[in-house]
Amino acid sequence: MKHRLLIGSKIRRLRKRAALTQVGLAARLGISPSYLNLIEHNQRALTRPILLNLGEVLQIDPHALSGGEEGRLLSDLTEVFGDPVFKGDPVGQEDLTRLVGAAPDVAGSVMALYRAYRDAREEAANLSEHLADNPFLETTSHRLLTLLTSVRSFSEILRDNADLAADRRQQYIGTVVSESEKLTDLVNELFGFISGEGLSKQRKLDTPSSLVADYLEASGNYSAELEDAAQDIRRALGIPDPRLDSALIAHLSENHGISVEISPWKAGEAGSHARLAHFDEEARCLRLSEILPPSSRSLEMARQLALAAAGPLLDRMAAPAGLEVPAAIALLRQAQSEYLAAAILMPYREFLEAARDLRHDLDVLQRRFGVGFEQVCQRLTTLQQPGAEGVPFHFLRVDLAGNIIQRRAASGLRIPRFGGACPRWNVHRAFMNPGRIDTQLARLPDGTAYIFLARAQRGPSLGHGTLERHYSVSIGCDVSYADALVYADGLGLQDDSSFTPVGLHCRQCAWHDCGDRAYPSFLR
Amino acid sequence: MSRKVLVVEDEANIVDSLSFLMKQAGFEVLVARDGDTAIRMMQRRPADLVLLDLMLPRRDGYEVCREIRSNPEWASVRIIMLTARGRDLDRRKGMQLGADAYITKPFSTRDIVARVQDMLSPER
Repeated sequence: MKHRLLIGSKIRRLRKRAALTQVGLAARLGISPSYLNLIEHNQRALTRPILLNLGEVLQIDPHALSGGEEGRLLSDLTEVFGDPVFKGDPVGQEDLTRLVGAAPDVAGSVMALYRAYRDAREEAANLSEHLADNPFLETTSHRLLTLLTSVRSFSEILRDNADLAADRRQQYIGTVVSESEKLTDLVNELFGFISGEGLSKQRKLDTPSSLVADYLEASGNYSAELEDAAQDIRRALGIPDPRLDSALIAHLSENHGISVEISPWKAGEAGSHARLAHFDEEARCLRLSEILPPSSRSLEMARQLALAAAGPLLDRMAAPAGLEVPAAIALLRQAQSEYLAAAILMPYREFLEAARDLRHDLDVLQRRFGVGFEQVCQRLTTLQQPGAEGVPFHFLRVDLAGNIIQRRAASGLRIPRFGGACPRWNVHRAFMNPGRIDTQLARLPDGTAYIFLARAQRGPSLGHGTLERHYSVSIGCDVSYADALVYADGLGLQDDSSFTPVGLHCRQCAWHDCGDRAYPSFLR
Repeated sequence: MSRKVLVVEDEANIVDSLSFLMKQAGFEVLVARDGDTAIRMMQRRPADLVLLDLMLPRRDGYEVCREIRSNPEWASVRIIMLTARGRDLDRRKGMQLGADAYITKPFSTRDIVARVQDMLSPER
């Protein structure tokens, strides 16, 4: 019925298009002009004979006068005007019916406009979600606020304290100027980002750990400065075997006035892994939780020693050009202090020779140097001193969800930057046999082949009822180095069928018939 | 005896300006650059009021607030959180955890001094 009532206006429009008066059309339809007038004003319904006559006279399909098209438009418009955007100014059904009847083209345009608005709204929501998660914007807004707070505070202090001592006044003016300069740089950086430069520059969208991984990769994962510093510290240590924690403890105490304390685990400490090792600056005491495994204790002590003995070097090295994100700088400093600690516990020459002699038997290397599995793996990736290179290994650490949380690409293998790696990499299947070293021969679509070693492990237990961290650590090298690895024995290197076809990420992978494919490849 | 204000903030310049303002207003100022140190300082010399930044190394401002509020001996300690404008969720969370007030960064120095003075006034 509603649709029928929309027909009057349409008949009037079609009549005018045919250059007929109401009287003229009424005469041809055999009805009175007043009756036609009522039909055109939706006051009378169309009878079937009149409908058929109308079709003939106006030369249109009688179905076009059934009101179906207008009905759909009305139903669409009703839905559109139900959008919360019209909440404050609701449009009634009657008005919509009139709109569709009197100006269906305008109603159609309203629909088109709404569709465009909805698309734009969705796009904006996607963009906003993208920006909200953007580490660059998050860090920048925090820095912006910090600088603004400084500038505002000191400006107001200068304004409100005319009697400030000259030196202090000078100091505060200096702070305002230097913070304003930093603010200018930051705002320019932000404008660059907003103008699209930043959005297209993938670097800016990277996480701090990704920035650090890129930086370390660019520097070849090896640092002559840190190796030299480690040698100096070892010499000063004067101990034959750093596995002896007592020697590290004595050295920290005698040379740096730092005491080491094993602190008992307390209920409620769970969840904060960072506090398993904590340096109390005031008391100059390194507190190591009893929960921390012995190998991690040694590493933490060596790290404290690295910080105490080579603090300025670490500060200088943690502020390289192009890595201005504070979280990345902090992370780089931590990575470098860990590098130095590892180099103290696993001195370059000794470790390199042991690795060669033992054919990289990771378990024995662990015992010999008194460190953990992951530390041995990480140290292996740093053996790239020019002239005394070890096997080039890559390293990755993956969580239970398959996210790559740490990567060092030194073997030539490209490790995916976002998300997880190919499900066929043994770093994933290692979770099925925690604690066991899994070996795999892998071939990439480009023909390069690698040997992968992976082991899943558990983070230190934080007591009953707390969530345990599980992760899998993997190292690997080009298969041409297989002879140097005890793990390659018996794997059937000569047999092509011993190699598992693997990729980097499904989207870029050419193994089209792979049964583990999660996404279609871009390559086809 | 002057009242003690503990400034918990990791940005050196903001610490300097807050210390200046609080000292000028006649308060004794204690400074902690991270959450762990803040709690240890409270254990040694409890402050009357804590100006607490949220983004801190080690324990964040929420954890510090929660810990202060969980100790009945510190029930009278006032906590003012320093938050970023527009972070309503942060603000609400802070107030739920027992903060007495919040001040948004970048703050007005007159405002912050007035708020601290008001909270530590003997009539309150």
